[in-house]
Amino acid sequence: MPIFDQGYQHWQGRLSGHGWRWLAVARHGVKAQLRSWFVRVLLLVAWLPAIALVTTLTMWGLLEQQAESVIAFLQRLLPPEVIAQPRDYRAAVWTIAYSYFFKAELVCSLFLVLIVGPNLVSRDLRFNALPLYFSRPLRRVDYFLGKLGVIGFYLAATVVVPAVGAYLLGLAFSLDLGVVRDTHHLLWAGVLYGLVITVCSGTLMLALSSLSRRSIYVGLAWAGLVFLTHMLSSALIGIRGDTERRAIMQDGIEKWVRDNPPPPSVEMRGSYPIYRYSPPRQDKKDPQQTPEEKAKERWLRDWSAENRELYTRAEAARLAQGPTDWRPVLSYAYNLDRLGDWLLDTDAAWVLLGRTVERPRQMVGPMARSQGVPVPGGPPNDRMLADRMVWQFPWYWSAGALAGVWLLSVFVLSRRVKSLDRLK
Amino acid sequence: MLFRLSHITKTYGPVTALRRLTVEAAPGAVGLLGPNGAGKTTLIRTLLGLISIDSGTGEILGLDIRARRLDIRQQVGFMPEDECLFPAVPGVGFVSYAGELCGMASADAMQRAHEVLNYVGLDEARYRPVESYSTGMKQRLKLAAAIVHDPKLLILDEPTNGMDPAGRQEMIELARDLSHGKGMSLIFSSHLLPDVEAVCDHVLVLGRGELLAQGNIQEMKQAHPRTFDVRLKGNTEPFLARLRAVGGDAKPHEDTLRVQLPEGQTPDLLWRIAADLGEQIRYLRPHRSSLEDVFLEAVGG
Repeated sequence: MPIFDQGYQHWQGRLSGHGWRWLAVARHGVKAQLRSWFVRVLLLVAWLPAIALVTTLTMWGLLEQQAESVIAFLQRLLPPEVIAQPRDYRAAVWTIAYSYFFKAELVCSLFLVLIVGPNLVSRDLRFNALPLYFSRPLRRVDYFLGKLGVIGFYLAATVVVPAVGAYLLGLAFSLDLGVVRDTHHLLWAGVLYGLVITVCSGTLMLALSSLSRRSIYVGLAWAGLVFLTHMLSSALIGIRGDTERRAIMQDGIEKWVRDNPPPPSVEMRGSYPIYRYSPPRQDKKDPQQTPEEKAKERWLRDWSAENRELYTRAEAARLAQGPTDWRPVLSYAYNLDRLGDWLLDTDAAWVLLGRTVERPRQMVGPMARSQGVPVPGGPPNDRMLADRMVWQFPWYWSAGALAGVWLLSVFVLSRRVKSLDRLK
Repeated sequence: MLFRLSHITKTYGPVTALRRLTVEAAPGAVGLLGPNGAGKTTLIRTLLGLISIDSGTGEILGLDIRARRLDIRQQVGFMPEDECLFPAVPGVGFVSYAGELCGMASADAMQRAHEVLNYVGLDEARYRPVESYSTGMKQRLKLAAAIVHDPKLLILDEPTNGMDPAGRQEMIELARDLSHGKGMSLIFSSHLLPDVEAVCDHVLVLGRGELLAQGNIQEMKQAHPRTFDVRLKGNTEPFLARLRAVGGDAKPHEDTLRVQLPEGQTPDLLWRIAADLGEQIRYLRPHRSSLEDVFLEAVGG
């Protein structure tokens, strides 16, 4: 009880305008979620990739200043051209560091959304809070924006803020304003990418959350949708790759074995030779191999070279299909990943690094092969790394898939979170 | 003028919730009476600007109900009928959140939340999660959330639903204090006639989406000068015949006769007839309609 009960008092404070009303919803949601220790721990975990990013960028800054200890450490990891002229590779290395950071944060953010999101609408439905919201000066769009803002806050805290912080630290360690000229696109692309993740995954989560009054089911649906589609897509990609590689290699080896029949001591089982292992002779009296053994050894070496060649060809065939492979589009996470690659222009960065790696191969390759050193053959391919490290299917496929899911989510939300303009 | 609606029609598919409703109400405490499905909730939602009406115009607190929806809700406090809660907050967080949704700064909202919770009498319970509240406490909490931004008009939809008699009495006293002591206009919707009678000065009776009756409660309840309830000891037929002969009328009502005197006569006439016939009048009092009579008459008609 109050010490002196004054009864009801009028209040003459100022009310804010309608435009920022969604912020009250967002603030309330953020505070409510922060009370959970699990969310706080997850936030800390989600900062770990940022530490790796900061480490990479600062090390690069020190390398650009030719710090001895950093050079000694990085010499074993990077091609000598890169160590010699680090400024030429600055944009590429920063881009790749950021792309790995965003890949890690994408996983973290999908988990974070799984923890933070399911309650957002489903609990309001369970406790019938919508009449309380909508009988106040709040539009439905304010409600959605506010709830999206909760997810946005957590994703910004794990994706955008560390990305910007790492940028500033990297800038500080490089002591060179040229960094801004080379890498400013990472800053806005990172912020934009954070926004894309927030809007896409946030809206999907809100739509799922509006479908059930029990948040556990919402969490299961999210996990199913995001992680199962990912597994399905990965499995399809793997199956296709394996099938095609096996077809190319099996056909090739069979043809080669027909042209080069194995010596009598080697028996073929499928594509693989089976033979009795004979240890190298220790007998001093007769160091010479028999002609039979020599033939077997030569045949096996040729088989192995052919196998490697066929593998390279199969790999090239697989990569050649990258630009038209629709299977990654089935996965929600791959689609977000693809958009990230496009926004950051990771492809160009890998092409630059690929060229650096390919140049020496081109020069020493023929020499090395004539000495019997196994160096992969084939013409120089600057895109060797890019094709492997970056999705090659068109980015607008992913954008289309995500836009479709977004529209569906908005439709579901508008059907499930109804205005009060209806009979009970 | 508190609100003024003219020719409002609202349909939900085949159901017509409001049928060319025209009504006006002056500031003060207005009771909204009507059986289930009469359109009370639809009328309240129309006033709050929550629904799109099919036709008609109206204004509330001088604001057009079509064009100024958010401004209306800014100035009106609404306590919904259903059980509804903001989940996972303590009581004081609930009320301050309601204030923030109306545009109060969060420090203001928290201070004000404590004030109104003191006023509605939720003491230490304000620090408990709202899910653990009893029905009566939830009703007080919703009332506190409705008045946190000091609205000019408070709309209470079935505020005493599910409350025990003591809680109901307190809720009625709060509503009466707000409307009569603090100058807040009030729309009080209920099926419970005694509650409306205890709180309101003015009443609107709705039925099937139309306005059936309206007026000041005291005036509606006033005595009828020429209608009396009479009980006779013996046979009533001769008495009735004599009464009709002089231009009066009577019909049985429960265990009495409800007598309508002819123009210009006083109850003396009844005594004279009874004396002539040698009958005894055992009971005579002027007829005074209760709010229930008004309600039943309006709804029945």
